Amino acid sequence: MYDRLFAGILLLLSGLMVWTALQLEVPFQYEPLGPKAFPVMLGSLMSMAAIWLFIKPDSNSWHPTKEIVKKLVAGLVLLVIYAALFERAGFIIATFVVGSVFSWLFGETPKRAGIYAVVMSVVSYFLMASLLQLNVPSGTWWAGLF
Amino acid sequence: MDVLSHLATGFSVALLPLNIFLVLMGCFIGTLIGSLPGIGPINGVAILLPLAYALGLPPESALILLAGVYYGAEYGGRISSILLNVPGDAGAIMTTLDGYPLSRKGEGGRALALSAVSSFAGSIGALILMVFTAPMLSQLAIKFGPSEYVWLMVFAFTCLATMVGSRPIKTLVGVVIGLLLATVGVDSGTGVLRFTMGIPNFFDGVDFLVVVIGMFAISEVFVLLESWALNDLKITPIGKSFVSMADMMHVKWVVLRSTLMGFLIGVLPGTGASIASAVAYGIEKRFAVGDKEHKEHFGEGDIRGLAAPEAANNASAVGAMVPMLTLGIPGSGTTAILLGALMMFNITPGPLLFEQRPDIVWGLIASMFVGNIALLVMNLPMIGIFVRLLSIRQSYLVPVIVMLTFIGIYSIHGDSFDLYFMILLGVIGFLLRKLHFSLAPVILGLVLGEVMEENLRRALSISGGDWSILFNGPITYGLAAATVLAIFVPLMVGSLKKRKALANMADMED
Amino acid sequence: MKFKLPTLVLAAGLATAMNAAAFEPSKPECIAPAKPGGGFDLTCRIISNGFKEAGLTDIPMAVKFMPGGVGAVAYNHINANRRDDGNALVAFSSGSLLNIAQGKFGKNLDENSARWVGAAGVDYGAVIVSADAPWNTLAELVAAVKADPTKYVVGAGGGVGSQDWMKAAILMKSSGVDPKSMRYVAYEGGGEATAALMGGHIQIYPGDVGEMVGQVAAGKLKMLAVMAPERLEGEFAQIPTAKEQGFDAEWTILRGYYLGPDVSDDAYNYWAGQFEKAYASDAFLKAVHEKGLIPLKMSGKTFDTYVKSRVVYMRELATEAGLIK
Repeated sequence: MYDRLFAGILLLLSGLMVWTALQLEVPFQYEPLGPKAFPVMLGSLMSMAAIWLFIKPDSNSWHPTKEIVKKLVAGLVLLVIYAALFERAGFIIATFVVGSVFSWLFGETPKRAGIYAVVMSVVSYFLMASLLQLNVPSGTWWAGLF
Repeated sequence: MDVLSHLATGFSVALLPLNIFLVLMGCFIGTLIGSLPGIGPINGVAILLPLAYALGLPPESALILLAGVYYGAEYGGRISSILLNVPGDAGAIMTTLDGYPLSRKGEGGRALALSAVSSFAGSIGALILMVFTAPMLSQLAIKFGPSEYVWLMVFAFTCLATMVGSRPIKTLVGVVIGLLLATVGVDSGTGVLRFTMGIPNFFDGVDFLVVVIGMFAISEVFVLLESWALNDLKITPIGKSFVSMADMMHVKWVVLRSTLMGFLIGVLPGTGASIASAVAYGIEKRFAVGDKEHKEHFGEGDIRGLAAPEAANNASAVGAMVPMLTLGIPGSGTTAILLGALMMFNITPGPLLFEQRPDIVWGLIASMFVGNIALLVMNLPMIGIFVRLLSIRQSYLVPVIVMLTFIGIYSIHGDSFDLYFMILLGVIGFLLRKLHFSLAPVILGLVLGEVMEENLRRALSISGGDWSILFNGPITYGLAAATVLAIFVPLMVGSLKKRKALANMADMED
Repeated sequence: MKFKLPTLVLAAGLATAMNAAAFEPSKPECIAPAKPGGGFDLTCRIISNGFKEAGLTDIPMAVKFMPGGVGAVAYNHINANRRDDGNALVAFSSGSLLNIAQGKFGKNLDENSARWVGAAGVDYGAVIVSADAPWNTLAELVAAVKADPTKYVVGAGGGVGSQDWMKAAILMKSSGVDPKSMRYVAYEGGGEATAALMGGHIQIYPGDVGEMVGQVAAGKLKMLAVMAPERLEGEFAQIPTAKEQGFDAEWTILRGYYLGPDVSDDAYNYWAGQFEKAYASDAFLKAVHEKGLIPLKMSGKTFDTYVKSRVVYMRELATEAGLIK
């Protein structure tokens, strides 16, 4: 079932890509292929493969329960929150918040998860920012305060 | 001999106490940086470059330090590939294919040790090749034109056609997804923007590292979440097994072939460690079909599938130095920075470097011998520490993986956009894995696709649309012949085996 | 105007307060819209180290990387998030300007979406061929190309609409050849194009003077002309300009820095002043030379006007070539 669903999405996407490629406006090109040939060819190949997959899908072996879907969505939301906070709240706070929830999701008690996340975020901030000189954000929300 | 006297000069530079210290530092930092997912040799060299400049190091010492970071990172990249299924850098993607299954079986120590030895052999082999053939090879490398690159890519695709995956159709879909991702961004020939949806972050195309880290590392986080919910997080046993003589004997020809292949691909200006390791893996897999003694189980923890990419990616890092030193042309992204570093020290890289500053060139080469020995000595005892990573509780490990991927990806462009894109790719990667697609073909399609399209169109620009340019010299004939061999040899061996098996059965029935 | 009186008073008060405390940067940084080691990195190093060597600051300015689309990502980032941030100088090149002229930096962004503050230096285009090529002057090369434009391949570090393509097109036009009739191959950057020239895959490379330091001396490549208004000094003094050889083909590569569009006049004038001080320092000029550039002493309003006029000129060129309508 999932194979069929996936094949359907692929077919749609490949069609969209071929159409988009054909709309490209090219001032001029110095060879016969140009920027359109590859995407059109690949898109067509993809749609054929998708049709094949639609006709002959694998039997489905993945049966996520409600519990699993919940966990996965929680993980996804957490990652998106991390991405949203990373630049704004800065590395230390974002990592503390998201790190502790992740640790808790994997069965740690809230207290230990919190302590672990504090240590992890502070230690890695100094390791990454000072020692490795990486571009680690300090947070735009507090930019004026320091 | 001339070369040997130059090498002696080189060692007199490399063995100065300051330079020995720097090469050790560089190798150590390189291993560390390479083992962190998302942070690769490019970051490492870029980080240390201003530092080397500020410290006022002499140019040869600075180069020794920076080069140490570069090839040290190729050693480090394998660690998280093997233990966590998360490639530490671009050259270590293929290492996940057989390295991770080995560590799942409790043979992480064996895999780490064997890959360290393969890396070492790849580097030293490539160094010897470089010492004796560098000037000649650089001439060959520039003869390698667009048509030759097209054939090299066709050959690579052919070798990888039987890649891992449950069904050929799913491997094909994976490759095409990668190839289509490669078309995103400004078209290098006409300057037209393709599939960017008006987002400036896509102008330069989909960043390779974002795809790798998203598809491998983030999807791994989802896999871990699922296993946790299912309560079947297996505690991976830590085997005490280390490298054995038998293992090394088993892979000696694999390592030799992959070293040669990796070195040659590294020398070419348009290709780097990721392509080198992919081609080496593909060749070994394709031709292992005929090996009767050892049935191949590539993708399930075959040590040949581990040794080949590791020897090749280290050899290619050495190879990439050849055009840089002899012609002043970078052989990879990282050597481009090394070139920039030379210019900061007012050294003009280029054809005259060998004559004008032999102390720099040969000092660097000699230091690479020193550095690689140091890396092997450093890496073998550390394996015991690294495998302990596996016994860390998931509740501690997962936050660290997530944090490292975010730091690594953010450090490329300094823009949150990449973080969201990485998460999206992680979701796609997870779904693909659940539907039994292998992720490696996607990555290979992305890497090889760009080189393929660009060079095919370059070739046709040169010829004004005449396709016969694809057969314009001995190198193209050779690569075309190799492609044909790669298609037919395994087929023939396969049918021969079948016939023999049938004959045997017939014998027994008699 | 519907401002209430108290708001106006408050605003006026604030303005005077800010004037009193003239702009002083906190944690200034140079944003290099390239990967580490790239051209923009070198441009940023000119001010990060050069300002320090000139004695203008104690610590070198931090260099931050934001690669993407010859500066498109950084341009959009500044315009979306840091419009008034007086601490962020961003490096640009005429390659960025060319893309702005063609509208490739985003729908609503043009040359007025930034405050152009100071120049790092300039470089010039150069016509480069292999050392064993049969031509020794631009005229000989042009005659050969004119006879059969499909016989010789021009290879460059960028595609249609890039600086290298513009150089080739200007050269062709000045010699009466239709740019569309040449054989043109795009490589990824000057390094690959140089390799292709050495390997004989291409015959003509419209490159830059700066990247040829050392390469011409090594005797593998020949420079037939510099695309500068007058002869250069130093290593390339003996190479004639295209103009002296009778071809009206000039291409100046400009490198410099901009600030966000809403940065205060105080901050803008502060940085313009810093550039003026730097131009007076030999140490700074040396840093510019070491990065393969010829110093251009221009900052503040003059520079802003100059950059905008360049973009207008480029827009004309692009329209003429049929790249934009």
